[in-house]
Amino acid sequence: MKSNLVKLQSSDGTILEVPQEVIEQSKLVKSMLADCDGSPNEGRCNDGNLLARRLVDHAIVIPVPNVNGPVLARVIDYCKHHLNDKEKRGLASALRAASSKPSDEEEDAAIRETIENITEWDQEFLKVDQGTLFDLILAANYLDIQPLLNSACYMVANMMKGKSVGEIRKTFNVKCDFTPEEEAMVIADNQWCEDI
Amino acid sequence: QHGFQPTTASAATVPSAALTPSASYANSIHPLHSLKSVLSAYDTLPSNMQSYILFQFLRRTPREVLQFTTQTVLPALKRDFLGELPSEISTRILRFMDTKTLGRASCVNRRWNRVICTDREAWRAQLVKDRFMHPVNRLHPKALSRFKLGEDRPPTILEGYVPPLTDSYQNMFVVDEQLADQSRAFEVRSNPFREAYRNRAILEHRWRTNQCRLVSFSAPPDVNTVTTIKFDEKYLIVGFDNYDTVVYCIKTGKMLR
Repeated sequence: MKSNLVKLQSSDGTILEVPQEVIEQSKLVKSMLADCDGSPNEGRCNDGNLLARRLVDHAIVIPVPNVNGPVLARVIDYCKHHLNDKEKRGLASALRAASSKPSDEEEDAAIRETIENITEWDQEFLKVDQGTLFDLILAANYLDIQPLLNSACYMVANMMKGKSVGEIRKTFNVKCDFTPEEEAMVIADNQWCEDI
Repeated sequence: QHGFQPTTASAATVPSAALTPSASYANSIHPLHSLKSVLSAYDTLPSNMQSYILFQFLRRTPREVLQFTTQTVLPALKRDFLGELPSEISTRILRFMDTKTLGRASCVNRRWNRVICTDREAWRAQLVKDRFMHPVNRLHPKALSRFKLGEDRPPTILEGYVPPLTDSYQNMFVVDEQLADQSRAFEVRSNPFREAYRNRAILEHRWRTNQCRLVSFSAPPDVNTVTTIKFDEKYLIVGFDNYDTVVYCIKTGKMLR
């Protein structure tokens, strides 16, 4: 069962081969594979609108229609690097990983954990242009890889930290669409954040 | 692939050629003339071919021009993370931010303001993080009832709002109301968790910076011990050991009944 290869097909048709235990960090893929195991050999298994095909040679092809090849390759790099994380983490987070819908409390804990445990490797991995980071976030969300999603969101939040309003606009190339009066109004409405 | 290579090679020399009009320029069909067709051909190519051609361009480009490319490319790659991502992801980003950054990001534009100020989850997380609320606690139903989910309302003067001591806070709400009347299109929004955070943060800030006022409640002359107290934002009710009950005004300390 171990070291089975799974084939992932990206939106642009690239097929990437990954060891099953690597890509099982994606809860989406994991559940699809689990469905697949239960079904007859040549069968198709259904997860939402997606079909994972079990081929004659027992390799499984999983279409990942909203992630392009380069981004998918990066996601796989991330999963390879974090393959043995589960053993390092305690029982608590293992249990958390088991429940599909995290409660508020669990999510708070996951966020604290991300802030405390983000490694230099992760930060370096996520030092990419904004377009790639954006796509990584969407991919992590779609494939349901929570640690990657959290780390990427943390990086985005960090890009705003300590910046003035104007600097934030510049960082993300976002236009201000307030009238001068409205801007005065929102600044007054948020003044307390500066004062406390 | 091969059809494009000659064109790309000569396109790199375009600037100098354009500056020197000559006889040969008119006689031979200069590659620049076909630029339009090259570009429209480029537009129709699949993305992997486009990247291949770009790669060929870039390979031939000197360093100074490459620097210009970065200046063009990096801004083009910028993304509006809070505006474009679905709310379940933007809320995740907001949960990694501190209050100060949340406040500043709310002033970026209308969309960001709405995303941040109406995000209950993000502000609930802030309340928990700064220990203003225990994770399992809920807000008082009264605090929630002032807001309808999905259309969180502007923070005009709220019932139970901690009365501001400093002028700036007092003015703030007056200004808000006047401005809100002038332009109906945009409204300052908020949600119960943000309001709760604001109230508690301001309250705590005042305690820390000694901006508090001592209110003393004088007991009736013939009692020794307070057996019970109960209060809300307007009244303090005290029960004494002689079965007397007194109602005080919480702002002035005056005995009401």
